[in-house]
Amino acid sequence: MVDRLRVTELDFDTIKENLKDFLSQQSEFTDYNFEGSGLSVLLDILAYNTHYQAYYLNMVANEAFMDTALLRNSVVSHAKSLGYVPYSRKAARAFINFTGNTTTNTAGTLTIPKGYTFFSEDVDGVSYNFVTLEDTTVTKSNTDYTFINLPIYEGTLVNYLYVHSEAQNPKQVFLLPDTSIDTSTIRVSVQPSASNTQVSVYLLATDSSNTTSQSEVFFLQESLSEEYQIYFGDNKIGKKLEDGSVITIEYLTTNGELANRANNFVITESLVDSLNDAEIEFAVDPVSPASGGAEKESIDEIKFSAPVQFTTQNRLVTYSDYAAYIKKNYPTINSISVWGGENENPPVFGTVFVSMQPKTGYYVSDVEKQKIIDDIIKPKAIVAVNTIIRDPEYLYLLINSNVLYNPKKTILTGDELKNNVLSAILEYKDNNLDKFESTFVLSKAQDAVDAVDTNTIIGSEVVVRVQKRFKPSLGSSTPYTINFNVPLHRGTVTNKMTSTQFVVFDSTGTQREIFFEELPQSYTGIASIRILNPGQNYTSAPTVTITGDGTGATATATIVNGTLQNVTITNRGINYTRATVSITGGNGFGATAEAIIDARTGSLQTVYYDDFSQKQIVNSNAGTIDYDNGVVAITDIRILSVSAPDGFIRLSFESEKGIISTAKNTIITIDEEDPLAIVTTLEIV
Amino acid sequence: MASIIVQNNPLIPTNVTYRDLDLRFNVHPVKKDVTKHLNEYAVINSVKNLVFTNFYEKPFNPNFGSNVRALLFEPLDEITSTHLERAITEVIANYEPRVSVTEIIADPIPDENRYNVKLTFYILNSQDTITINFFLERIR
Repeated sequence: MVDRLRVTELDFDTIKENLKDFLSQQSEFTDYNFEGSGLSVLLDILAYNTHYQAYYLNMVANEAFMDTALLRNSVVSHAKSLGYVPYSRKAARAFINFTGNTTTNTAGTLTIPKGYTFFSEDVDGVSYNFVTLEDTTVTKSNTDYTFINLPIYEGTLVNYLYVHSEAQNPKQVFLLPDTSIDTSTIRVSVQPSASNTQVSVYLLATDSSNTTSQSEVFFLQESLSEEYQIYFGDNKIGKKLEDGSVITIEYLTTNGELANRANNFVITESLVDSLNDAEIEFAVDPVSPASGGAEKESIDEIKFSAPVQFTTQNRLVTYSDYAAYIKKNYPTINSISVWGGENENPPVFGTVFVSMQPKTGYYVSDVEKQKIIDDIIKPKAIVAVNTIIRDPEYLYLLINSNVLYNPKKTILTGDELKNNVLSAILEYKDNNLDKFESTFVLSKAQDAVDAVDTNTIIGSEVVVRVQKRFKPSLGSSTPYTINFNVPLHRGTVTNKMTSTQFVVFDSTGTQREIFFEELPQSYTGIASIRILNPGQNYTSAPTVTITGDGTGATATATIVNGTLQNVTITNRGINYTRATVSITGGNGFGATAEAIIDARTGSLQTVYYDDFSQKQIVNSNAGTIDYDNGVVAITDIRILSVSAPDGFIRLSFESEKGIISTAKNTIITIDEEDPLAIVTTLEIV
Repeated sequence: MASIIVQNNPLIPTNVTYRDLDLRFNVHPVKKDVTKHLNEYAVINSVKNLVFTNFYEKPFNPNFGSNVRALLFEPLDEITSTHLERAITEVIANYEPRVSVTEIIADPIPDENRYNVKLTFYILNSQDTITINFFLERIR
């Protein structure tokens, strides 16, 4: 009885073994086990063939599904069936103010032509080419031509001209032979024939439901070779090309994300105005540096975005619609957070709040924000729903770790061990922080430190401080509210709030370099006393005694008609965290009351140290600290300059909790460039 | 590459142990089926296959074979002939457990640009030695 041949294996050796097992059940040929035999050669061929087919089929099956496909063109093709065109590279865009200064005020116009080129200053040693994509014309005002917020795009404008031949190209597909195109810059214009110069501009088809048989649109797809192709309609969806049409395709090839941060542009050639004035002096002022440059969508990103994009159905309704759609059209963001106005305090109904963290830098510029709202969100959002883009608020963590280790159990030097701790914390940050809705967990960070070298590190103590940075408006007297959004630790002598320095005028009008100092003890007395039971039969005011962990609180009672009417605090006392109230005497009985302690607040004063190291107070009432809500309110202060070169004042508190989580537009991060962000001290056992 | 002359005709088989396929796929004159090699013939055929297989010929087993072809492009001298003898002995020892080689002589014939090889072995469980003579010659 010959058993069936097993067919589930894919591997060459196993297939061959199966064949041998199969042959072992017959007696016609017996030499299948000897490698030199003729039968073995035959088995090799059979097994090789089977293996080859199995591998091939496996690959075909893999490529047949979006989740398992490995080749870019398969993934792109699957995405196409979901109506998703992967985004291409995006050119970085900068905004400039451009002025042309003339000597006369004769009226005239100046046009910056499409393709006019600017050079940027070096970014990582490379200067980039920026061009305008449209003709822009202004008229002279007094003696100046002024272009405000002129957008310029990184890259080179490329032009292709095709003459359509129905016989040679019946599918009307035209290749754009470039892999570094920003497809949003493609401009297609069609001329009916070489002699008929009536040019019509065709637009990219985005929505087939409003494309008619006469719509002048083109379709875009990525080709097998990762280049792009455009094709035209069939007179059912989109207008078909006529034989002999002349198609001009113009687009920008770009370096993508490399050109982000490019700034300080210079012109490369002079311009002449309508008066033929060659004496114009040109000046370029940067408004916002280049941003928005991005690489084209990777395979993994397409796999993620295409189904998500499909569920949005090209409309912005839910939070995730906003997140997916904005991310697709503005790919240079790292993380995005969307929340409804009803979650604001106070609620702002009918408004969607969006916060975006860019891939480079900390903030998206205001001009970019407006462009995102106008070009990306508005066309797809529900009518009458407003969108507001908030800047992300960064909460910086300062990690202080004290590591106890045994130097005899390691070959690493102390500095190397410190470096390893540093990279462990940064790895923790990369995996868990630096995005919206992230949570810092102290115990996990501590585990990461301990795990650096379990052999030598005996234990560690990690203290985390939270830091906010704010940029004061210099020279004007302004109040500031700094919202940490997390509970803060009330400082003691050793772990008070720290502040970086800045310069103000003191009361005598002298410039002083000062800093904020926390006064944690103030206002932690008894706020009020609530009567629980007024008691009865009192003939005189009873004595009120307050006992608790603080000192100095006193109060008096007033009686009306034999019952306790009111308890008035005469001294709030200090340092109370809990207190009980006892009411005695007065010949009555039954009166009880409870003490209500202030919310934990502190106050700020501004101080400096004089030449004799004496602390001098500039303003003893510079602000308040609400520890529970994590809000620091600074009263009006006129700051002249800030000592830190980046212009930020930094306030750091020890965190009250070991789990720091955020919502809305707060991002927890660790500033790698700040030498105080991660401080490790080693203790030898 | 070579031809084989089997010198000692073995005895007529009385008990068939080894049956192998003839890779030339000659048709059996009577049965009109594929011819089979039996016993000693099967073994000799196997030895021949081993000797004439070069590296990288067998799928997924690049080191299988004797690789004599590479040696034929070396200088035709005693050193190469020693290598040849060694390669043939090794491939048989590695892949043909039915055979024990008793003697191998590769004799270089410079005039004819070839080696005459005399391979003597016996099949395990059999008393008779088998000697095969063949020549190895570079043909391109």
